[in-house]
Amino acid sequence: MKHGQFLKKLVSVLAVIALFLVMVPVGLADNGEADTDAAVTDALAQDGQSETEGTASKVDTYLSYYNVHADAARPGDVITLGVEQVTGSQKTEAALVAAPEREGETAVFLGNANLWTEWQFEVTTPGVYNMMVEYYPVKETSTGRDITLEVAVDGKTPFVEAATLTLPRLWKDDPEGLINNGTEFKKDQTNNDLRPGQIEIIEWQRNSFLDPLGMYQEPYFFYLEAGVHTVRFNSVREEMIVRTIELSAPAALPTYEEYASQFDSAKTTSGEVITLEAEIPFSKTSSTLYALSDHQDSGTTPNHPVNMLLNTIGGANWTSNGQEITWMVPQTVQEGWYTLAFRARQQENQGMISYRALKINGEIPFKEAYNLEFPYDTDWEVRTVGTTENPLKLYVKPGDTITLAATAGALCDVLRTIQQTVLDLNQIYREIIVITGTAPDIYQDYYLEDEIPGLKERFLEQQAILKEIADKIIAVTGETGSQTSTILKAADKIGIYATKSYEITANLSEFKSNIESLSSLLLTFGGQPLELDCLYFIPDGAKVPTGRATFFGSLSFEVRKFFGSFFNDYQDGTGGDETIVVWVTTGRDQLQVVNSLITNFTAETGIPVRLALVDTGDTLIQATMAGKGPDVALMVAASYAINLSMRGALVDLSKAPYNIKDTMAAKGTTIDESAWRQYIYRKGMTVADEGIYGIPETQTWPMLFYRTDILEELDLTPPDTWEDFYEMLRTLQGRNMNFGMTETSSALPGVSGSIDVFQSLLFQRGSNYYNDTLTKTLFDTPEAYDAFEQWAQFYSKYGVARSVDFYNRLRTGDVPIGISTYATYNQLMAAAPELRGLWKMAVTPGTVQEDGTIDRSVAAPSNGCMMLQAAEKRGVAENAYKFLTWWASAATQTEYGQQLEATMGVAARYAPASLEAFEQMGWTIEEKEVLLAQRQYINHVYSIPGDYMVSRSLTNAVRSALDGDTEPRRALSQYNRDINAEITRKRKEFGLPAAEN
Amino acid sequence: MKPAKTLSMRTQARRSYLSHYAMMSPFLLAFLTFTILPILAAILLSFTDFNMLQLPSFVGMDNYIRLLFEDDVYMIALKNTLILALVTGPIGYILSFVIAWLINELGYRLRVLFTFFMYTPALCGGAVTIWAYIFSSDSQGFLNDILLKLGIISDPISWLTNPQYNLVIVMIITIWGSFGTGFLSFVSGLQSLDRTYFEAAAIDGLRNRWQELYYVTFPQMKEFLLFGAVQSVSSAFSIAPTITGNPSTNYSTHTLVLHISDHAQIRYEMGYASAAAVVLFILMMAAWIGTKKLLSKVSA
Repeated sequence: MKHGQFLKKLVSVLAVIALFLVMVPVGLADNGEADTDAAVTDALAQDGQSETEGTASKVDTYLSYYNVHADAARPGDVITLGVEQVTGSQKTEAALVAAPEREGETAVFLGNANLWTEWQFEVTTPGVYNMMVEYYPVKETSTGRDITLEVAVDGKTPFVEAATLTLPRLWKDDPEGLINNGTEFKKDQTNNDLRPGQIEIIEWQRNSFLDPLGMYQEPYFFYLEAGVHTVRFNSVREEMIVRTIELSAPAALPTYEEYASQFDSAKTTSGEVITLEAEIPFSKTSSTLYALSDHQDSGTTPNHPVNMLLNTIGGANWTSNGQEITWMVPQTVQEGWYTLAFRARQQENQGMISYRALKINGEIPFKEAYNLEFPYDTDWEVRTVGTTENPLKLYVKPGDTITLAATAGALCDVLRTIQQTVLDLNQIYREIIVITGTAPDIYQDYYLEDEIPGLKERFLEQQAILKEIADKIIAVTGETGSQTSTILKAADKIGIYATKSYEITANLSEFKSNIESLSSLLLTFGGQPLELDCLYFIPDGAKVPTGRATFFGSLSFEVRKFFGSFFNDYQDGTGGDETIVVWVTTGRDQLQVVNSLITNFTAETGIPVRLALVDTGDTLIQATMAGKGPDVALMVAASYAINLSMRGALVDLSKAPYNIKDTMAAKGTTIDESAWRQYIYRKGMTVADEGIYGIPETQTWPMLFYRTDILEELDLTPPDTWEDFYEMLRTLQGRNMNFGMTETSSALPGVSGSIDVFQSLLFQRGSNYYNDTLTKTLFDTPEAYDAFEQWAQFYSKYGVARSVDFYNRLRTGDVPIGISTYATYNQLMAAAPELRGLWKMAVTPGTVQEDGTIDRSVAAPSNGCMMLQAAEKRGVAENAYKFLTWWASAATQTEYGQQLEATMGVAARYAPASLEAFEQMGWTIEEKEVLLAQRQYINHVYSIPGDYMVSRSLTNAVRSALDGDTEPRRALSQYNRDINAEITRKRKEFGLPAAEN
Repeated sequence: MKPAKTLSMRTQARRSYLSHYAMMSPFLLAFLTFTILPILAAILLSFTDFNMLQLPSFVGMDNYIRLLFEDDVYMIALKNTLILALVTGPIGYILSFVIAWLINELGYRLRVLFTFFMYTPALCGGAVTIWAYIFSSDSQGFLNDILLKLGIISDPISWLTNPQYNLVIVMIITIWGSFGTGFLSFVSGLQSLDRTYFEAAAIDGLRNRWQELYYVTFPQMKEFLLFGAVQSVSSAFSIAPTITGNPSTNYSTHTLVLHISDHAQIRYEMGYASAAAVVLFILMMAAWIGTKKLLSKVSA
């Protein structure tokens, strides 16, 4: 027993010693930071310096400008700038034009022919002035987007947002789409309402510059000292004719008493309540404010249990500050005092109130009309101006216009505070990651309170601000919601970080996600969605309608709806031998646009079209096999085109009687060779054996996206060549940042995310995937080895992050630059509001050639449309061809792209393959320049039988080089064998001549 | 008095057979059209070369020869499927039974709750995508983030695309989703056992729960065990993990079903895919017969 006890003691002592020995090295470990501390502190000092000048490096944001001048005087002077005050223009001959609709007057033209004009004036009373522009849109060049300008006062833009100030256009429903004297919509074959197109109203308008994010209730103002000043308008996008610019102080609104005293109070009204349907307004300021359908509530008028009627307007699209809808008071209204009420529903933003400003004849009548509240409710509510007990009556007469404008609402200062908080917190985050990196070691104490001066105070300040914001929101909306809990949660966390700085490093990613959720609040709060059914004019003595259907009314509605659904025939009524069947894979919203365009086609050519929304992938193949396929398929990936053409399912459009390339040229459609190539199938060994089996519709190519503010902070410019790229990468990585070039994406784990980079490198070395006869790959050439090695080494040797969610990381700023398809533009514009003005696109880095030029070749994939053999078999090939070429022509593609963007906003910006259509998309002049510069270098490989093996093998090769530690060249040559074996096998299968060895 | 007319034995028997068949006919029709006919079609197509857009052409045994002797990827798929089947099949099966057995001890409410939680992954197939987030290769992906913070790794790992890891991950995910109908049948089966046998065995001198499990529970559960085994075998062979990509890096999680879909949908080689499907069918039959023999020995 003694022996056993001794043994136990020995073991425990040894264990303690062993533990101690392990702990010592760990404890004494050199944290590696000591050497770089000096460098880091220097960098940080530099950072601190540039930051004290404000969040934007040289120019203030409107936020700081506003805070400085908000209390300045508002003089009563009105200064009008007309043609006489013009002192200079870019092209004086083009600047002065005859004013449309105004005999004998001249006005200033701003557009491509004359990019800027300057006015000069004198200010006697210093103070803040609003700019009201009287302008006339130019119809010929309009692409439907808001007119954008840059405004410079005395030679410089007073704040960052002044670089992109917008003026809206006026729209109305196309009268062609309305029947019954403009009171009803045209119906389709099944008696459902057809949504009419939106056409622009071209007339003189007066508008100020509003903040689109809804952070300021008033328009942008400009502070002017006494003296002589100049103001310059620079055209950024769209053209217009300017007659006058009025500088005046934002006026105070009259009280209700003042308003009421203007009219005869004895003009009482009597009779029934007059209902004005809201879905066909007189005008609207955006083409996205179109009629919608509420098929659920039987209280919505007009309604029908079976047919879909368009009976409401607005909805989720009526949400930005400044969007207005205007109605004309009908003739049935007597002149006099009415209570005005709206049947409306706000069911988009839970816990929030949507605000509207009421205007009569374009002016807000009194203060209380400025912020009409529409709180969240899933039911339709009738809201009166004023309260139901104490309504504020309005004096109206027939012919007056009534406008509801979305305004920033009572929470706009909350939004401003949130925006500033997000910027400040992001700044703190970037300062922290310089020291700790994005994945800090939680067992290490970075002494952040010492390294970053004032960290604790800054955190406490932000915490107080956030708590204040949350309180204010609860006070205004009267309820807590997910938004307020997000803010309070963030406030709590920041409070913890203030006192315990080691908590920051342990929870760095949580800190970042808190910032992200705060910034997405800008989107939720800034939106003022509202769906409107009708307006009520309630005379004296009449009761305010409840807006609800009776119980039995809604019961009978539902019952009829149920039975009606069995009988409603959704099939297209047209038939006959002439009809061509078209399949398209796209979303429901896009389908509406396609439908309306096709209606025009049928009207013009008399060819009936049966359109179906079907998957154009596997289903297309199976249906074609069964003989039930379409004649034409739209929006198909190029790879499907080749697979189908190999197996004889598509019509060769290059041969007579089609001659597609000539036809497209005749239609004024310029499509790049790199797009055509993706639809070419070569039956033999030479170009003569080629056939074209599709027409490109879209084409995208990669661009360089970067954060202008961060790169400026780091004193970097977007890399021009790959050598510059490596240099920049070094600087970025020194700050624990990285470059966006995802290799592994979670969405598509089976295919490497940066194969397009490899393609680019291959093109830039003058090589390609396949040899001249398309019988085998060129991956055994030195160029291919070099390109592949460079590609793999981005990740293995140079530490580019293999997997980044580029969009999100660009927002937080730790991946401030990256290469991505230019469709990322859509995503950033639509869903990253806090980045407005802080990011840009540039051309991708290229390889310097022997003659000194830079080759920036990139791979540009495309989607297209094609004609199936079924069309020839059924004898409708000629009609199908007419349709195809009409659809793919630049004119139709332009219209499609513009309508898409008009309907769904900038998130739906289209990427057409034809150059003419591309130029008509809503790009600013600067963006278009840089996109076209990259377009010169677009390229793409051929599609050949067996090419699925290429992307697969390249993925396997690069991953075995990165994960499996195989040498890149060896990896490529190994997998190259697989590719060539498969290509040869496929060629045999299709009876194509084999490669000569 | 004359006796009432009675039908002959044979007519009576035929009449009752007829009514039995009539009642079975809806299911039989559906089974024939959607299960039997496709199998026959697959067997026929496996002897042809068919690219789905043009008519098939007869090639005899070519597809089988290529599949079994020339296709390296098929061997990888076979190996992966067997590994996955042998690991996840028995483990999933045993785990289903053990958990069902444990759940059986709980009261009604708790039993329902736990059954629901265990069955839901198999029910909502789409829930598998949650694993894509957990194993995301981004450095801010769930698992990567935790491991980086703990200091276990210093660079984010691409779990789903790295051949070293993704097979194990597929195993975990498959076991997680393997509490399907087999599991449910165990739970209900354990509920339906005759309590008198347990009392009798207790009186006769059972020593512990394991003996009770082996001598009393298993023999009574024979049909349920068999059913669970069928489910297990068929799901083990039809594992088709798409979370790692189709095809996965270096075919590291390539299985027989994925091989079939690769040739059918990506390569348009329907004849070859049918041949692979027929081979899979034969394999599953073999596994099923083996399992049945094993189980009858166990619960005899």
